Amino acid sequence: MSLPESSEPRPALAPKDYKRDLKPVWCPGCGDFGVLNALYKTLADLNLERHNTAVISGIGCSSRLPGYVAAYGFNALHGRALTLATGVKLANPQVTTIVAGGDGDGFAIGMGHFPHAARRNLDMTYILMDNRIYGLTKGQLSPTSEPDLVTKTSSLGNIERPIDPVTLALATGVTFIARTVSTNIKHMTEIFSRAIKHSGFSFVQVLSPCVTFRGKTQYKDYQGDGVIYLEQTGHDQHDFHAALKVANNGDAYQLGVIYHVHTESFGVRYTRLREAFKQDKNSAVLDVVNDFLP
Amino acid sequence: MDCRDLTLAIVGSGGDGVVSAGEIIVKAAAAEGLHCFLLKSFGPQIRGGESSCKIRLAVDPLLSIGEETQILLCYSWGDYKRFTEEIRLTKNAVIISDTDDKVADEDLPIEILGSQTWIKVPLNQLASVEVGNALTKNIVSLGVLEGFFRLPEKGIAGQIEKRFSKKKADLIELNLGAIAVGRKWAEDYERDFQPELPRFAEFTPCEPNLVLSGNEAAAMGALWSGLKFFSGYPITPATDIMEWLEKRLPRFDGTMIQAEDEIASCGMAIGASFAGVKSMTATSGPGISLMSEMIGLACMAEIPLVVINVQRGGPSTGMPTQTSQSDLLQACYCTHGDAPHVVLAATDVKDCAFTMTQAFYISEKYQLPVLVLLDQFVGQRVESVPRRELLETGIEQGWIKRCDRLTPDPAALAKNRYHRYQLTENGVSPMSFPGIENADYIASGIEHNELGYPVSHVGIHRTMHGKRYRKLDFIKEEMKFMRHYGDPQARIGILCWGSSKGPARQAMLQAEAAGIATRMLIPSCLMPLHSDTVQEFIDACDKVIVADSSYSAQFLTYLRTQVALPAAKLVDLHFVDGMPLPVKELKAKIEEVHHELA
Repeated sequence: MSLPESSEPRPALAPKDYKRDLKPVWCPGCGDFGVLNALYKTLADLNLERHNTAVISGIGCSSRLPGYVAAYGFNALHGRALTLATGVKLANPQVTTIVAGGDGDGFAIGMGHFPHAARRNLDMTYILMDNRIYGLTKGQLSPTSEPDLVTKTSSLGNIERPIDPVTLALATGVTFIARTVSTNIKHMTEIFSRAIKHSGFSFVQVLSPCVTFRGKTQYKDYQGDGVIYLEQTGHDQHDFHAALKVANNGDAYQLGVIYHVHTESFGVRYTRLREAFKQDKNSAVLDVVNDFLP
Repeated sequence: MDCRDLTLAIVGSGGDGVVSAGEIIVKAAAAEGLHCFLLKSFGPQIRGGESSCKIRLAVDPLLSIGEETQILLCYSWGDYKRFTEEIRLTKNAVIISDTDDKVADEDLPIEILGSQTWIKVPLNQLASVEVGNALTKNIVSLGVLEGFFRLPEKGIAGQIEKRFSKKKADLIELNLGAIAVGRKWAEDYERDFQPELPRFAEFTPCEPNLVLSGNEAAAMGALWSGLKFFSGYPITPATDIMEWLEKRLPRFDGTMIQAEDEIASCGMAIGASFAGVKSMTATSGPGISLMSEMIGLACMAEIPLVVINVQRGGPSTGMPTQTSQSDLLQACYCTHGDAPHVVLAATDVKDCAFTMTQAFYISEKYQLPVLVLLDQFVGQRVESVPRRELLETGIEQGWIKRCDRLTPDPAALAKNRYHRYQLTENGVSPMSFPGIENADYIASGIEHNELGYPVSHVGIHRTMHGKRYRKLDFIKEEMKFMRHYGDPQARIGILCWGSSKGPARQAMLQAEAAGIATRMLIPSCLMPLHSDTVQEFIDACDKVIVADSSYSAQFLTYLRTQVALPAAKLVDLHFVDGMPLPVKELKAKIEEVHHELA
């Protein structure tokens, strides 16, 4: 992200200033409340202008998030948030672009767009609120659901192997990858902040419990020995192979910045290309007719 | 025999240089101010395989590619088989084939009539022996055509120079030599055998005409209208639009991005439009099928969006390289729910540019998706267009200046809370975009209230439907966008749309020459259709021929939802897609109807 330069000093906004007067539809105790609160704090910490921020989502419980943020927002189609965000960022590069959505939205129906967003390396942040279940449609299997999980569409247990979004992100060349948990607002805020400041495509998996359909286990799983903070293990976030090792969790969820590398963003490369085309020919838009002279 | 109008076809396989020969002829003619058409047709092969082009040259402006061909240059009879339906010859046609292409008479794919002239030319020999390079066969044959039919000599030499100027210098000389070899062969043959040949009339060269395809004209019309963002996915026959914009948009501070699929390309265009710039995508039928949900999103979130569909034969993969008018119903009803949007159709190459300026005007002013229907016949054919006329289409009529979006008034924003979907008389509410202070809002595909907040209240749903649909009432009255042709008193009427205009006008002129008056109505804005105008037209005619190029008569099906078409008046004339509307059949139908009325 390149923070827009403001012409005159403006009063710093508090987290509450990024709150819209719309009541979330989420169930009481939903992990997504934590994500939303951390996002408010992040926006305030970075002092982002509301009118130069856009939060884009698809469809699902978590995709309702843009409606609760006092910034520009687009609650679009199931699985397609990254495509809209790509258009927003390319058309209006000064806009800090944040994509938010769930595991079904991003890694079932919308998975096809993920590797392409990754390889373009557009300057935007994708926050995955992963509850490993379909909540809005009331409790079906998700592509991140664990093996043997009993749901309304797997009454004898899940027979499919789940996707690990972080491993996938590494494989597709995402330049900033982190994992955090919605019960730790402080950690989330730090991670979001670093992700947004990263110049290029950043991806954050938030383990966000579904209180209604996964509440019995998920909150417990994400506590105590269930999680490891990479900041305390000496993990080298610039080492791809080390990143691959911690991506795959193992006995405990590995939280923190998993991988971080700098490569030029699409926007920078396109700006250069644009200049090259301009040097080639310099004419008014009406003069393009002359390209058709025989 | 001198002709002011000449039709010509070239047939061969990919390696024969059929298309480059055709392009040289057309550009040569246009450079001297002549009017021309070029229609390419290919087999499905990636490289090689049969290919053809039909060319028409004339001193006066043209309406269509012409029906039957006067001159056929056939490199290989084997390749001609694929085009027997598309390339039909006049009974006095001149056929030029390669001596080396030996086919027994009974194996010829056509019957060559006694009244036709068949000249076998050793094209291959001339190229490899006389010129010394077998690859110049197509250029040698240009020389032969030039010699026999008096094609514009200076123009052809000029095109050879232009085409090869960026390559090695001796290539120009080699190819000019190849022209001379061909021309000399033709002159010798004429002296020896004195065949009866059509010759292009003497004319005074004038200002050059532009040479461009409908796809290119559409892309340029978009650029003129202020297009700043294009996202697309390669698909025949629409890809030319993306390729043309790839080189131009960056020059004018715009962005072109090749998306991972059509859903993404439409999503990106919607995102860019939401972010404040004029955006579009272009595709063909299969792409529209994928984009349908996105088009519905643009209706619901009220996002300006232009989508071009260069139609091809369907359904499914269908006939990717063949023209069609069979996506009309898809264009009108592609998305689920009650989704108000606009469907426009372009009638010829020049009109592609004009239609795009209209599309942007409507989509930006009314904040909804506009689908623009072209087809392979208008999108990929090349036409000569006078430069002045092309510029007039959008610019001098002032459309381009007008197509800007209504944004919120800063004074109002300072005072009142911004309501993105504020209810208004014409349904259009001021639209902000990221960067405008105090006007942030949430756009959504879910039903929403005036603030943009999600609701599931049936009353609000009804109110918002009303708001979105009101726009169509205003567009309908503002954009009647009807084209009338022919004799306003005629008893026989023709209703057709899109690229059928050219062939239909040609048929009308032929009927007129035979003493039969007709009139024609072409709605360029198909949805919302100004049905009163169409109804008046139907009521005023004794017989109405409804013509299109779709197997299931989609235009007729659509009209039946819009107007009353009494069975006694109706003449249904639909053709299977794959070919442009055939002039001959339409003219025959006009004659038949005329006799019935008499």
